[in-house]
Amino acid sequence: MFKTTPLLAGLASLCLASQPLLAAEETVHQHGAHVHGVAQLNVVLEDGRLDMEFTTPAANIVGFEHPPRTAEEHQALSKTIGVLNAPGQLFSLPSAAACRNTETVVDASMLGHETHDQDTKEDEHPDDAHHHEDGHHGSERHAEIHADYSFQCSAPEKLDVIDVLIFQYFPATQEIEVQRIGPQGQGGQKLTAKAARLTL
Amino acid sequence: MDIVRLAARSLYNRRYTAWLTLLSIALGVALMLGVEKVRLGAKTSFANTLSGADLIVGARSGAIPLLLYSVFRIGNATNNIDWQSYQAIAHYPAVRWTIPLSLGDSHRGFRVLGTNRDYFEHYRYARQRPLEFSAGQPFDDVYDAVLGADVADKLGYRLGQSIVLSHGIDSAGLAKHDDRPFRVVGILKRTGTPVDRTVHISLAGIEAIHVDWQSGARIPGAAVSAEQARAMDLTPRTLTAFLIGLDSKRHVFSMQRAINEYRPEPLLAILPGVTLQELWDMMSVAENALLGVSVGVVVSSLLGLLTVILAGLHERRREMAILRSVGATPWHIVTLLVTEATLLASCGVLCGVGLLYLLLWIAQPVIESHWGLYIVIAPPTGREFILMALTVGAGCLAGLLPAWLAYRYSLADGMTVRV
Repeated sequence: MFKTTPLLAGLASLCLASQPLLAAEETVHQHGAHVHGVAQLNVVLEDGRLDMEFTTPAANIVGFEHPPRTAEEHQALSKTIGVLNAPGQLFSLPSAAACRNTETVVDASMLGHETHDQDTKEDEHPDDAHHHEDGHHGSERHAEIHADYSFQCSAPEKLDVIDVLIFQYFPATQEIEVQRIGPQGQGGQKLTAKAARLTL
Repeated sequence: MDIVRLAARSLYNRRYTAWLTLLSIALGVALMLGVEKVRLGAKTSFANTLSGADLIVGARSGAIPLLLYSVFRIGNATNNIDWQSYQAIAHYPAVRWTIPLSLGDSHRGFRVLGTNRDYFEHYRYARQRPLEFSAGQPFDDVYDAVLGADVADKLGYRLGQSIVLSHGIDSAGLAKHDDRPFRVVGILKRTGTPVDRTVHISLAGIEAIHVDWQSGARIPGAAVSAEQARAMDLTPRTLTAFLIGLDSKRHVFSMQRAINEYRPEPLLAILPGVTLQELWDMMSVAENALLGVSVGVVVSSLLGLLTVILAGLHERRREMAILRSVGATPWHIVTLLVTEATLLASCGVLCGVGLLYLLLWIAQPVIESHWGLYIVIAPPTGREFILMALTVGAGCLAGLLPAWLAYRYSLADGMTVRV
């Protein structure tokens, strides 16, 4: 269940209380699970706003987990980031729900890729630096890519299913573990290429 | 209609084998529907136990064990969490409320839960239903206790009564906190959840009964009276787990991540709804196996039905011949035999349903008190009706084979049969 993922926008405020403790930096080793082929998708639908957070081992979608070295690797990474920046291709929402993508943030900093998004404010990622470190320290040579999507829906009651098309673009992804919070409460689901429909 | 009467009479004529066949079908059906009822009952009672909490936080172990011990009082925690961590997380800005949970003691087989008054204010079960008192009020004093409905019922406790808690979950109660009795100040209304089987006391109360305990035993000579304990610092040092309610669902995932990456202590935050789903996914293998076995029992009882009819067929060639001689067509014979099979199967199903409800009626209180599983005695669900219809259908189908044979015989035999 536990994941090492970059902390998100909004978390800055949450973390304030624990900052002194973080500064003390006790020597507690914590290593999250990192399983190639398995990605995570968190979905929240509240007050007509749909938020999705997609976290995946870089290997699933780029094919390597180190900063790109060759021209091919550079090309692969920018192609992947291009796809991740097009939520309309990755998720198919019921058109009746009339959802509009309001924000997309793709974070591939663990592969040494600079995040450059129109809506992203620098101060929303206060712990990027620390995560950078996480990705490279010791023998743990794993890297994750993280993408956040927000949608505003004018008829959220019509939003009952989401078809996740990620498998089509990134066939190395075997399984997506979904945690969702919707009008029906919390729920979990495991999506695969054959069963890629998420029910809210 | 005549055919049905004839089939019934014919069955009556062979009533002992018919009864046995019917009984085996009834048992199979009762078993199959019973598995279905227990499955549904377990699901509903689990799903109804906790509502409204966004996250459960405990020491890092597995998500499912954390859910089981914190909410359902099944199993025990591997580790406790530090009070400081709880305080730090409870003060995050997005947190609206928290409910601390401290488990580990018991009272005559019922778990004792140390918590605070937020429990009575924020705990929700079923569909956002709050806890209500049937008598009294939440605890106030260190030595106050609030009982769940079952605890009060089973042990016959009333307000004002004094009770002694046991150390650990040993129901034999070898180690008793008998020097610090608690007073019952409140009794909760029945919820149909593990809350009914819980004795609630304050966190300070949990601390107070353990001040002169060390390594699971009372420290000799270090007796601290109940009143002395009251004057001591009763801030707990550890908790078993806590529940969190957030201002907005939108913060759930970032909060979960913040807790899972909490540096000073390895913690685990789970979404109860998601973990419950995981539990079902895991259980579905066992569920399907159980359902498979019970369907197997039904199928074998139907094979028994087939055997009985087939075995009887040879003896009944004369009966068939007589029927033919009084004007029955071969098709009448077919209908008669299929009707017999269907009649047996339907009666078997009906008796099975009756048997099931009788068993449920007897076993429900026992199951509830032993496993905390409240199985609702409700009319059969759609799925159960389908299972029943399938059984009758299969019985009818099983009648076709002897019917076809009888059809063949009755065409060939004419009146020349010698049995």
